Amino acid sequence: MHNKDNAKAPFLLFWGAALCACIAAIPLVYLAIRIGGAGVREIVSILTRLRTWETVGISVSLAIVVVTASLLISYPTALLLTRTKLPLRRFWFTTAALPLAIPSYVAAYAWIALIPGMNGFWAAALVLTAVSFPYVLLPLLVSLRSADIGLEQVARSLGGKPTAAFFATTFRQSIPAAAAGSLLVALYVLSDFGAVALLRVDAFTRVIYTSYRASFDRSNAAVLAGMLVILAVILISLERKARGRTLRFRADKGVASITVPKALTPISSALSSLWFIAIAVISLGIPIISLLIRLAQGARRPLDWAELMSAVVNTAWISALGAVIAVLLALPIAALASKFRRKSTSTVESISYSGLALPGIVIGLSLVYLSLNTVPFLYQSFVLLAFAYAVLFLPKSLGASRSSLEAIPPALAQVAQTLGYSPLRAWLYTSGRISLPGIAAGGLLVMLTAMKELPATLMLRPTGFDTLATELWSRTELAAFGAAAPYALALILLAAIPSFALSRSFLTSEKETMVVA
Amino acid sequence: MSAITVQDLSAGYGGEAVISDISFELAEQQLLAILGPSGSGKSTLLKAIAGFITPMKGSITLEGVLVSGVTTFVPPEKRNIGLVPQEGCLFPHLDVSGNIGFGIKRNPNLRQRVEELLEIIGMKEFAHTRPQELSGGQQQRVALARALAPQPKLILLDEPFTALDTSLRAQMRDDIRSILTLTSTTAIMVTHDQEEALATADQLAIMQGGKLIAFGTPHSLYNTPKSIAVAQLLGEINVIPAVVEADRNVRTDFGVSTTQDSRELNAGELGALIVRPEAIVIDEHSTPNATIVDSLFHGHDSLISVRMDSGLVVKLREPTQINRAPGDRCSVSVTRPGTFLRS
Repeated sequence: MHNKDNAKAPFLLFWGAALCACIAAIPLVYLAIRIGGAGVREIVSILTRLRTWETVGISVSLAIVVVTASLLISYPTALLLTRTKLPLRRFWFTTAALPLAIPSYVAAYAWIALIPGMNGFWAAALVLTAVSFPYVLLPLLVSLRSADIGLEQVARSLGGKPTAAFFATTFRQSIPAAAAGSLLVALYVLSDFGAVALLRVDAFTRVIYTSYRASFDRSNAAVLAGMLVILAVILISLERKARGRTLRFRADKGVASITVPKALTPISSALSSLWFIAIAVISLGIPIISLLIRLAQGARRPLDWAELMSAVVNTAWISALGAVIAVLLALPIAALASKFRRKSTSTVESISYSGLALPGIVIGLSLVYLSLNTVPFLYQSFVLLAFAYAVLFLPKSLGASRSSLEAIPPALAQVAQTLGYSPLRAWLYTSGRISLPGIAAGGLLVMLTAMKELPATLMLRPTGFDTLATELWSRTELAAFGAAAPYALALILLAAIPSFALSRSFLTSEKETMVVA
Repeated sequence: MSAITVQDLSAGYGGEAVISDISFELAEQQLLAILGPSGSGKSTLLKAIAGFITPMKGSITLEGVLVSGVTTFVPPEKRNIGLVPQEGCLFPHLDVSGNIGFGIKRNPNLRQRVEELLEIIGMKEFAHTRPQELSGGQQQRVALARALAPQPKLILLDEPFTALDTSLRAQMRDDIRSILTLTSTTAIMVTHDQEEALATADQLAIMQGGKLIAFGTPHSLYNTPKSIAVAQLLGEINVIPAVVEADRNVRTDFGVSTTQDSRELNAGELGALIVRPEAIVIDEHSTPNATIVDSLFHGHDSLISVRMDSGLVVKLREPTQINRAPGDRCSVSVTRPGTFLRS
């Protein structure tokens, strides 16, 4: 019996999943309605403003600079890690994903705390590169490691010099991976609010936030948010394309010949180590040391433990609520997509991925408008904030639920049915029950990610409700840098958990490859 | 009363028929093997019987009760049909007892029934073992016990031996056969392995291109096939041009022989005699009438190709103690003429 049926999905499942996908699409749809409501003249006037295009220019150039820097860091790093007998190679492998654990606004705050007055375009470029370059490095490592070195050997046997052979074969194979990673970095830069806001760069997200705060010009915020969504959608579809090409390169790998790492001379060994140390210092060392210094200085004034604990508790339960909603929305969609491959089901699935194209600030903005105009009692309510988290991080939950459901043969549920279970009970007692750990892990991932969310939290939180992220934010606004340090460290600790999980899964695959070699 | 009656059944996916006009009837306590190449619609037929797809046309009757017809459709959970999928598909979160008892949770004699089944499949000591720790053959037996637990009217087995090693298959075949006999269960088994089908089944259904092209006992289908396609699916054949002389006598390059066919044949009709390789022998003492072309060693026997002096090439099976080299002369004759098929 086939794993995926061409068969029609059950009526209730299909429409249940479609309903969930539509709920997830509410922020996007409402944003469109809000922009439409501004009127053609208003939109044209905003689109012809010089300031609008300055914002576009700043955001796009920031993305280009950060992507270029990430590529320049990642290629040598990945080559040294995969092709040489670098000292402490496994250690550097493990730490490769760690910079992703530092939220951009925490990194920005740490740098400002170290170098007061640091701000502007290049400062933002530095901070954003330091926190996002692993998005390029990780896929590149995978690609270089799995690249069939046989091709390179053939090129050399045909008379190519080592470098020429590398560029003609392995380098070319790695391009799709690097491209996919670069687009993720670009998406990260465009959606980032914390770093650009703290470093006072007038990128999209900051301008949207200030226009929104200056309540006289809310159409401007909506139109800019719309432009940001369009840019994000373009990046996502390009990323999908690039990733598709990576898969094809690796599809019929068979037993590929694996690179034998080259020994390094003492000098090149020392130089390479210096390179890794420099990257670690900039991406991890400086932020953490700066926070520790601030913590030590702040310790002169007593830390308000009650306030910190209440922020931790608030952060945990509102994120958990968001995760529960995300899992509930994701489940029917995952059940549908894992079992039925049809055009209509792919459409439902794509709609539910809209959270990918919606930066936190845009979801926040859309839900503020929506609640104020249609359901005022939900404005600045816990439910709305949790819902924002659910929509933002639905793709994570969906991915986890879907892949764990896909691993279960549908024959299990069929057997249960022949043993007298109704279709729903059969599903619950077999596929549902067996995929529970995977679904729960997806929920946990949503929760951990939601804990560090800043812009949507700032806009949607109930008055007087503080999370770790908002506490940190308000202290930096007051320039109370020392007092912010405990919150920043708590955030890093929380965010390190999923990054560790990521590195670990990465390491396990590394072990497998080593066994093959 | 027949255990299952299928009439003019057509079914498929998304409005496209994969199987069409299937009709057959199976008596109680019989094992039916459905044999056919992949894509012939075997699994679709199984799914239609189980109730996982709604037929487009035709009816299915179980022990006299209509479960699928023009206006009737009984869902799988109400049909009382057991299913043993490919590779067993045991529930990974339950132990062996949990798997066997899955379908009889409301039965007051649950424990007793589970133990009874453990006994039948000879796995008493594995009651609390997790499926992951069982061998492929054990998993398959547990899957069968799980399906048998609610005492179904019919058991469906979807390629139950494909996942097993060749050495295990024959053993499992016997095991399953005897468990089914012991529990007096009617069963339908899908397979693409002709040896398996011939060795296990009481009745054999042959499918090709979504149609049922033959139905009968393995013996009759093997020895008196109604078409070349059916004959070929059940093993190697020789198609020897023949002409009817009179009655059931036909003339071929081997001379005149009497067919095993019971039909009336008219003198002068042209056609072919279907002869199995094991029905042709090499006669050491007669005048040579053929040359060895090729000999394929199979262990227990050899498949030898010879070219008759008339030009006709035939295949024959012979015990392996004699070594035949290409070019050797020999005399071949037919010991058991097969069916005559009109061309």
